[in-house]
Amino acid sequence: MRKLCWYFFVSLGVLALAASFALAQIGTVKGTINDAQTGEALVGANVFLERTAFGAATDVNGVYTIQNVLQGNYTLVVSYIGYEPFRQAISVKSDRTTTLDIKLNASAVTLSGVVVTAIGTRIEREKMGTSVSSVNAASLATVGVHDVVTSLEAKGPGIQTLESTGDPGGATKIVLRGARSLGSNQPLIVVDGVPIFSGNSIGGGLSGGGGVSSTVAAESRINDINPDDIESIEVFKGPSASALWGSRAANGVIVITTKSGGQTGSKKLSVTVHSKMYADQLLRPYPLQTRFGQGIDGVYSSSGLRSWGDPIWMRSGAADSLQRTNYDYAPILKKNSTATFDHAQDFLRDNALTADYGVTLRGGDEWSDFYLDFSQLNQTGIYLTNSDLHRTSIRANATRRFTENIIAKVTASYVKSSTKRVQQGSNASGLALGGYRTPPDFNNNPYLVDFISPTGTVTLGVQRTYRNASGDPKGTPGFDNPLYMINYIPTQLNTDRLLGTAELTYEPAKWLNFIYRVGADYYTDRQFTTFPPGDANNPTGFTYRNANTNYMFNSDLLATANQELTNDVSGTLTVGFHLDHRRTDNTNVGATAFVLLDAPATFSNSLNYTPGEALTITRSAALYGEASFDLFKQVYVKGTGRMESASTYGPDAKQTYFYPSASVAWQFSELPFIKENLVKDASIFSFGKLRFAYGEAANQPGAYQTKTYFGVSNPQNGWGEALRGTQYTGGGTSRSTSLGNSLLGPEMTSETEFGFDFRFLNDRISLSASKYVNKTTDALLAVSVAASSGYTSRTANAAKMENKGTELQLIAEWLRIEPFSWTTTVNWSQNFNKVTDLSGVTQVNLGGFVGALPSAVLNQPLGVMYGTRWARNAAGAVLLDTNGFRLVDATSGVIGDPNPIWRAGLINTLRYERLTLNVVLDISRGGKVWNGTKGALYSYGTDKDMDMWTTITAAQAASLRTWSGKTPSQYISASATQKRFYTNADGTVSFRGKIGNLGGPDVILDQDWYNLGPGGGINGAPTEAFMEDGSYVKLREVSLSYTFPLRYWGMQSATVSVTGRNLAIWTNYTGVDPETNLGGTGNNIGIDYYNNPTTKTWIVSLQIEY
Amino acid sequence: MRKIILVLTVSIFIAGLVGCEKFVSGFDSNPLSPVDASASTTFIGAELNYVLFTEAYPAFVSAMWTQQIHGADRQFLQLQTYQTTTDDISNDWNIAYAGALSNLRIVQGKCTSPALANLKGAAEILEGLHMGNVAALFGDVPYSQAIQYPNLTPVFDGQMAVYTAALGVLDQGITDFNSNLAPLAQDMLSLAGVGTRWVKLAHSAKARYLMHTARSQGYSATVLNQVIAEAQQGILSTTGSEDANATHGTVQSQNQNLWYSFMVVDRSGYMDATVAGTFAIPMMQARKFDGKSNEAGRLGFYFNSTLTNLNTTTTGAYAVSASYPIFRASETHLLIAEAYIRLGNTASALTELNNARTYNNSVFKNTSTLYVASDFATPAALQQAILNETYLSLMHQVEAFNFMRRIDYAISYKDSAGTTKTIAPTRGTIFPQRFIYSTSEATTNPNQPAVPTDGLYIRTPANR
Repeated sequence: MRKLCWYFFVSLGVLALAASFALAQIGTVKGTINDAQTGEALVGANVFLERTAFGAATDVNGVYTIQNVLQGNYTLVVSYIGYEPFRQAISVKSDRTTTLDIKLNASAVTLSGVVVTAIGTRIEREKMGTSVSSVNAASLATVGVHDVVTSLEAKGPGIQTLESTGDPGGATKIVLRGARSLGSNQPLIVVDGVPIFSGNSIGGGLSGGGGVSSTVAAESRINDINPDDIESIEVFKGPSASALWGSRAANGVIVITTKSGGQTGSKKLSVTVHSKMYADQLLRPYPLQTRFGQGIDGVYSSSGLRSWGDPIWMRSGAADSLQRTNYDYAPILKKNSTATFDHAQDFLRDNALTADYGVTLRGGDEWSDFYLDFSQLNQTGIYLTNSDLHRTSIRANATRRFTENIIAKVTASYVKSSTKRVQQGSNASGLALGGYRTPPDFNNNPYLVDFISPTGTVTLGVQRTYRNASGDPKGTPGFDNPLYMINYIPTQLNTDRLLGTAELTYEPAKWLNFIYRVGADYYTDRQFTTFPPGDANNPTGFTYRNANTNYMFNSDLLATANQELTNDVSGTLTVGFHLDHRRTDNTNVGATAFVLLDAPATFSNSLNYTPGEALTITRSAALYGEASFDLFKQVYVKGTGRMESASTYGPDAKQTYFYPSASVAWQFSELPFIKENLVKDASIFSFGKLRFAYGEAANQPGAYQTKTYFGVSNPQNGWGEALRGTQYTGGGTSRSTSLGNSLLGPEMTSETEFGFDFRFLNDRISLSASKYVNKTTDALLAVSVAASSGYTSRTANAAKMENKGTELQLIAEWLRIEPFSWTTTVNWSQNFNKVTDLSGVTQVNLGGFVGALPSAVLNQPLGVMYGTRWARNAAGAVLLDTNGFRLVDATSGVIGDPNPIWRAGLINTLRYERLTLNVVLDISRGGKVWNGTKGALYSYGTDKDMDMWTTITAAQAASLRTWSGKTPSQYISASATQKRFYTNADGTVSFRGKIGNLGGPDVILDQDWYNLGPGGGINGAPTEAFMEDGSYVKLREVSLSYTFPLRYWGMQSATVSVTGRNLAIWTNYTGVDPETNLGGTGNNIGIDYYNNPTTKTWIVSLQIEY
Repeated sequence: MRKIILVLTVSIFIAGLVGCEKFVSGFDSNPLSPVDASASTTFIGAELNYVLFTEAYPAFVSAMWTQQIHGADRQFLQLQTYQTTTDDISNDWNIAYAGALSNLRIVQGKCTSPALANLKGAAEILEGLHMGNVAALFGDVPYSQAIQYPNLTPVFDGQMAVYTAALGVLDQGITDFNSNLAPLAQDMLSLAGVGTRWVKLAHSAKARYLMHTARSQGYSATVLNQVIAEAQQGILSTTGSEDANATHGTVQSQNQNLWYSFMVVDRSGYMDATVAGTFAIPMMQARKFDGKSNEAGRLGFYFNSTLTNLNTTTTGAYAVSASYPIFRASETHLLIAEAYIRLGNTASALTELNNARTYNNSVFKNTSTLYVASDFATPAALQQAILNETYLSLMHQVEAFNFMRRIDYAISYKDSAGTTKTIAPTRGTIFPQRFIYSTSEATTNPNQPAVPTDGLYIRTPANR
């Protein structure tokens, strides 16, 4: 193989040498670009010669210069956002300068006319046979987020995002045109033509991201791309557009192009100083009750687990009476205080500020250009401490033209990021879990006490929680006090990352070029977490260190030839050869049982430590090609093909797969008949294009699933009990319960897409529509296998899935009365996913809780909630017990679909001279969420809904029954001291609860039902009982920006903007946010279980250009 | 130039076609994991899986349903009142088959030479011991076709057939181990790999499972005599020196006593053990009223001094590194005692009951005196005493649940006033009769019988 590679490169070298001997005949193209109406110079407009690498951008005076152009005839194309595209034929002569001054007409179309393709070349949008969504630098500047994915929210149809957490640097889930895989549905991220790592940082002991029991919110490595560096983002939503990336492209491809220098006219250097200030706040506090205290059966208990205690308003308000006087936090004998505390917010800080500042240098001349940016982001989370994100980013991009036909380009970026995170989720240390469960009459301060025993012995620094309110060191915390957790259980991730590309372009002839491009992405991710002794999860303390090193290398050699065959037919042919090598390397150690409790939590201070490691190397190699033809300046045909092998396929499977694609775009408005009759002056119908595309792409299986392995025996059950072979004489090994599959191959997705793009009223209204069907066959599935076979799972190409969807985009400039304009963009998309084959398996768990499992189920959308239900008879009627209370079914079934029915983005842009107001609404309709937080808090009695006080007549008290089957009268007569039912002077009875009807006779819904029975989540409520509609409308973004010339002290211009993100939400969902998801970016969506809450943000931004 | 391009293009294609597969080959094996392991280490792995199944969750549930412990919080509060779903047991079902049985079969498959007949025998004995228990808990279960790749959907065999097969594999294990009595290289049980002790375990296990099948045969003399014959070759030492125990250490999540791990580390508060919440504690407290028994030793061994929870201190049954019983000699003696009393041989039955009491005095530091014939007015009274003692002797073991179902929960004690107290269900009027099948098998193996809504209360064939 290596020999062949060498042969290939030597051939290239010979060819290059031969061509350089040819005498070059070169000329220059230059001119200015201005707004046709105002005459204002247009800065940063892209000018290029079609089907060549020659191009430039205009400087601050609107001047462009394209140097060293080989003699010949070209089509010059100008694209500039907000203006109509411009094309004109020009002739370049040796040693001459061709001058072309251009005036552009404003257009309602706010998308760039040029798209960077999946392999890094450029194509005019109007020639594309697929629908591509784009985001440009100007939009990124006002959107005010720290990462690429979040910036895409509501920006295009078919882009589904889920901003599941408000923690700094939290990963936002993105899926394009529906799930195609039971594994990752994350699109491939390609930066400057080279793929990068874009998964989440996870590790065993931290397990952020992946599993539902993740203990901290996931951090996405996409965060390492600084949005300030991005020139454009193109979203290729499926195989019909992304097939050229073959076995990595089934989920679509997001192509990111970073900024380049460009000539700056008379000045050789331009300097931009940019800074932003952010202020984050909690979006919505969880609703909690504050009227009933800690305890059970209506009686206060200072050690009570639940909040079914006494009515706080009935207390005297005097000081509490304590068991003993030598200690302020001695057990409370009688609770008298009526003070209450807001445990949904008492862990928040007042000012969660973020500073993001930097400086950019750009410059260049006719031979070279460079871009240099330094940015620093310091974000503070909304919690009191130990929640932040710091990112230092340096990027240098440079291009150098060595001779007229050899261009070298280097892009390089170094990013150092660190983030601190707080515990969340189903976790005794979880912030919300401990917080929301705390009784309203318990003060979480102080969270650390010096305990004094009855005999006066002092123990310093003990955690105090509501379940151990004295801080007795012999007690157990139960759940960590959220304030203690925030202060004493830090989790930190530190990343150092280098990524970049090097690219050499050689153009031996005007119609021919070669590009050799390599890209490397290398990062280390070191993770730390420490639980001190006395923490709820780890009584003896726990510390964990996890070091990941990831390396990816990509190499692409491309040859492109283009030729005008006749006046009406021209074509381009690209052939490429790709190699990639990916390596992930992990070492971790977890330690428990610290010897010196107040010494640092180090391994040498630990009695027990367990190391772990993992190493994967995967490779793929591909040969690919693309042929496109322009016919009669109205039909654009493109075909691509990729042949690819990968190291992850089973030895008995096919080793090389072919991924084809084809597309046709027909600008029928160019037909002479239509052009002359219908289009005419474009005042009604100005443009029409029909398009059709088909493509196939795949996802590779993970490494090493083709064999069955043996390892150290480490059986564990679902409750935490575990044994480990290393601890027993001679060691114990077990065969993996995961059966290797020698027939494993890629999961193939094919997609058919068709649609149209119409424009009306001089392009002031544009309408695009697409319909697509994508089908995944051979989907990779960890098929559960009957344990009685000896295995519990096997990864196989065993599932089938399909998505059918519709995407609409309407862009309308309603109003233009110079200098005012109002443009509305509507993105609407609908996707129906269906799992069409699971190889006979009824249900596949995608990661959840017992009883609440997001699953793949045959003929259901991926991710449906599979869980426990109310018992029903064959006719579907709910079954009741003899007293009229619902019964729970012993078996599980599908209880809801978390996928939205449709989504829409509504973007209104109002401009008045240089003032721009942008308002973005994100709308999601349908989609069920399991509000497990609420279910559990019903049991705990702290949910706002548990604030109930009902008075019933004596007759009702004698007849209505609680879940235990007793009437209030029976409770009252059974015990003279009971406090659950109060007999009033008039004979009526008051109690905490309400009268309900569950389908039979009226019943009393009170502590018996919510805490003991299946009315509450902890003690047996079926999952179905807490499924809620997750529809929402979010005010994603409101930004007001103003750019003004500022020609003092060397300044050129200044832009000021104010942005609000996620300022408001309209939803019937009763939890913190219907977007919240403990599954993070996984396929396990719709799980709300004590996730850290989401935030809203205010951003002030200032950018000054010198 | 066009020729050069042609050559170049063709060469790219050749390089691609030939090179792609070569470039990627040789990277398909996990560099950190072996694809095979030795028989002796795999045997330890199988033992660990067996112990996790036998000692942890199924034992917790058994102890709750026999009221030897009390579910106090969360899912265990539900389990306490028999609220269980098919999801609850999935994990442990997988451990029973893909963990324990599967690795036991791998060991057997590797022991083809006579030099390894001892290891093969141990693996067979453990398999018989394990599968008898699995059949007892679930009724009809996969066995004849289990662990036979590529069969991924084994049929469910009748419970009685599984008992027969388990007894058969125990016999085979006895034969194999007896053919080479060299100690095992490794053993995580307290048997320490000693052949004679493993064979005794096998005989005791045979006695246990023969007794499981006896009810459906009307406790015929044939089967009861078989029980006696097997038990008399079993674990009998009243000092406990022959007992089979799972050994433990102090390392969290690695070798700690699994009850300690649950009660202290993993799920503190989910279960407790109070006088009001259990039947076993008041029963042991009341024993002294017979004038001959003193259970202080055993009570203090299992439960804490305030009788609110288990004893997890260093002297308790659930100390961090305390061993957990797999088979106690007292059980063997009580199996013989029960067989004799059902055969009408009260004298031998009394002797064996007293052997169990001697064991308790020796192992738990009880200070009971031995019973004499006149202590029991009728054979039925003696039989009841044997059953009551068996209930306590199987404390916190899965076998207690198997036993209680076989005798229809017919245990009792007399309180200080001489009133007979019997055990009552924690909810409703009937006791659980089995573990219901798992979701994991239900969704993958069409051969698993459906679970009716009241499936928990349907007797397994052995108890019909």
